[in-house]
Amino acid sequence: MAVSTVSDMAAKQRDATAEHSRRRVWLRRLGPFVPIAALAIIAALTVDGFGTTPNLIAVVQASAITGIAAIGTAAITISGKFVSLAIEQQAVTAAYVFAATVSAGQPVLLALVLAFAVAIILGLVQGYLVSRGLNPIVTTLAFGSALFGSVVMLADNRTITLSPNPIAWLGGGTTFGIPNQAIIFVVLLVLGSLFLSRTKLGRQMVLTGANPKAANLIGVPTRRIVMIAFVAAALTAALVGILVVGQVSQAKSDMFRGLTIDVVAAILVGGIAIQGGEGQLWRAGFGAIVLTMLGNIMLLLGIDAGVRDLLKGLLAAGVLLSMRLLKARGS
Amino acid sequence: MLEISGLSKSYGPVHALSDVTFSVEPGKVTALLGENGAGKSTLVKILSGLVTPTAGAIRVNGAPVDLSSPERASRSGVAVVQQEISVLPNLSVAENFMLTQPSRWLRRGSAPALCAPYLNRLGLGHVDPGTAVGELTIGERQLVEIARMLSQDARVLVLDEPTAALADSDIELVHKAVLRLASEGNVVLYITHRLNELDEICDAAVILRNGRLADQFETKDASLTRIVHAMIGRELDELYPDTPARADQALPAPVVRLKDVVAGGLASPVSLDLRPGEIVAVCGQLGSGFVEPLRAIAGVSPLSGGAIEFQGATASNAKAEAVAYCSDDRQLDGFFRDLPVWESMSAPGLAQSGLWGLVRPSRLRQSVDAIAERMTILPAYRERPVHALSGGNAQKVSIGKWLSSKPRILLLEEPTRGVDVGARAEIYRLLRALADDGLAILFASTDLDEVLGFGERVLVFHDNKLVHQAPSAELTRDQLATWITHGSIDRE
Repeated sequence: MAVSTVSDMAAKQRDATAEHSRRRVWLRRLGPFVPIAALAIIAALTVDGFGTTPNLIAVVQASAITGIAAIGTAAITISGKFVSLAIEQQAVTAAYVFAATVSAGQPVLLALVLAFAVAIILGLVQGYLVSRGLNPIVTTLAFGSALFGSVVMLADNRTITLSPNPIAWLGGGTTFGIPNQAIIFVVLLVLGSLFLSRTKLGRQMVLTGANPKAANLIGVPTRRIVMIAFVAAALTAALVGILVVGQVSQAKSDMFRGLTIDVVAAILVGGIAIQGGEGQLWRAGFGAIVLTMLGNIMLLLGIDAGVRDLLKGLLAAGVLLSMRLLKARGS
Repeated sequence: MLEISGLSKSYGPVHALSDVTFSVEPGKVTALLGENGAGKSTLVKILSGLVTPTAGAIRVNGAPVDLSSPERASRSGVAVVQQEISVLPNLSVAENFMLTQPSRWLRRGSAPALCAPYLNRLGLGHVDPGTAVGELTIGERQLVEIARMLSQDARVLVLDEPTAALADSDIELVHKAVLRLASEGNVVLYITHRLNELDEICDAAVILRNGRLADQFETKDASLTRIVHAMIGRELDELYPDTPARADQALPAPVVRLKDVVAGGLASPVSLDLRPGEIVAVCGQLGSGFVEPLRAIAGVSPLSGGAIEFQGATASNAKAEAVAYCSDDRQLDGFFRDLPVWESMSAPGLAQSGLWGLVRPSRLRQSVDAIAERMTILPAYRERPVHALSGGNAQKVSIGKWLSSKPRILLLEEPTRGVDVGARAEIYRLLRALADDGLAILFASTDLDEVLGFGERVLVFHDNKLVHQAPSAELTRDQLATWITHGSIDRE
């Protein structure tokens, strides 16, 4: 009677939920692609000037900067240490080291080596502290502030201008019409993805993020891996610093304002699990493109800088929330 | 009387419970039995208001109850004591009581008086309500939790494996309390994996298998064969595999020797030889230091004295000596629960091969197939996340993963905790086969039957000292229990 009608309804409901859960898997897999495609199509149709070649190149170029830094930072995320909040400070440091060395008349190669060597040291110090148990957010926040302070102090808050700029080709040049920065971005993304899936170090980095205790017990050198992740993040931040010097021919203290937040947002929007252990690096690059595209569209529409930042923040929060909800419903 | 009729719950295409109907009478302890995945935990979640059933009805004393949320469930008089102890260790007993009182204000002054009668009822009269819960034994904490439930006027008590994590003396405390609650006319549904508890305290049993009611009977009508048959759907030959007969001194030289080792909280040095092919048990009450030899060999507890020799050489790093160690909490550090099974199973081999170099994911995937076959893990599970597996299969992954690094010493804490009886027999058999192939196995357990049935040699710890060691064939269960609780066998 009453019970049997309930179970009839239940049977129907069961079919519906099975169908539903199948669709949900698709939704979760395709989820990240929907906004990028929708955004691009709507923008191309409705926003004047978005679909033009120079604008698209500008979008790719701009996303390359955020994207390259996000690739390195994703190593920190994947190894389970959230993010670094010292990205822009490290990029500024590299820009200053590079520009100062070149303007002192030293060869470009030496300047490059110096900038990257400083980055490695910075990465090792942060990585050491975090791998011994310090909170990564607090550590990098404090470290970034101290680093920025010392760099500005040492540089006397001057702007170093390079003329002629020996690496202008690297920052602003193109190969077969594609910006060199974009090429570097894509190459790093491919290399990084291969690194994570096909090297022993990369796989153990994913394991470290997935469960540090289990990884440690089976003999994964988790502390060393965390240090390596921080070095990778520092190196990409330094590369970004050098690339932008190539682009704008100068190093100044406020040249990367907002980069850290953009990188963190790119990682979140791309959908890399912030708690670590998920080795899909392409998501970081993808997040960078979405964010830059959004910023570009808003710029073309003449939206204020403040509103742009507000919308970016809301987007990151929205993606986090929807991932959380999808996950909760899926389990 | 608790009546459950036509209860079903499905998650998409998976039917966790289908059309389960039974009733539990007051004044009796009714056991709810079943393998992992049989639907016990779904039933418990429904009763605690965490999960809404797809169909069916639940009545208490003839009236339907509202179980749509945990708060409503406890207001309806259905109290569920979860497996994980949920009293807060930093707060006092009285403060823990206050947390669940419906009153909006916490009245510190009246709390001790409020909880004292409930504590008395459960045989916790000796506990001062001002004591921090963290200072109680695990069994006492369990009882505090039950007492807290009672204070909310529960008429139906569901206890989910209340003795799973307890030492023997604490088990007795819980048993007494449970019997008392039943005799007061409450409905008691008692979930357990320990079949001997059936005889000890239960009057009736309800058995689930694959989400359906498999059998229901009075304990006096039950035989072990009937219970096991209902649980696993087939006959179980023998829980523990036979120890191969061997002459004295037939075992090869030890793979590891502990010489006067002091580690962790040990109060006196421990010496122990472990030989290939041997299965050795260490046992004791929780906190008696019985897990320390394992942790010392694994390198988890640093040595404060003595030496550990791996086949002659003193090894500073146990990992280089192919030591495999599974802690008693596989969820915490036994595997990578969100990654596919093959990632966990190939991980020790990967870690052993160092940090530098390339690796082919397809080869890693395939490399686990032989191990999975050996551990009787279905090939279909290879791509599933570990958290989707049952307790028995998860434990097989947790142990089996080590085979990828070809260890010579296997250290296991509570090798079958939370594993149902069918999978347990399988795990014992697999471990025996590994030992016969030359692995040395040392396991720590609080389950006396397991210690005597599966261990060849037994080391007993009491109060952080090794008090006795003997071949398991020369110990009775009672003797072992006495050693464990008293640290000696002369006085009694």
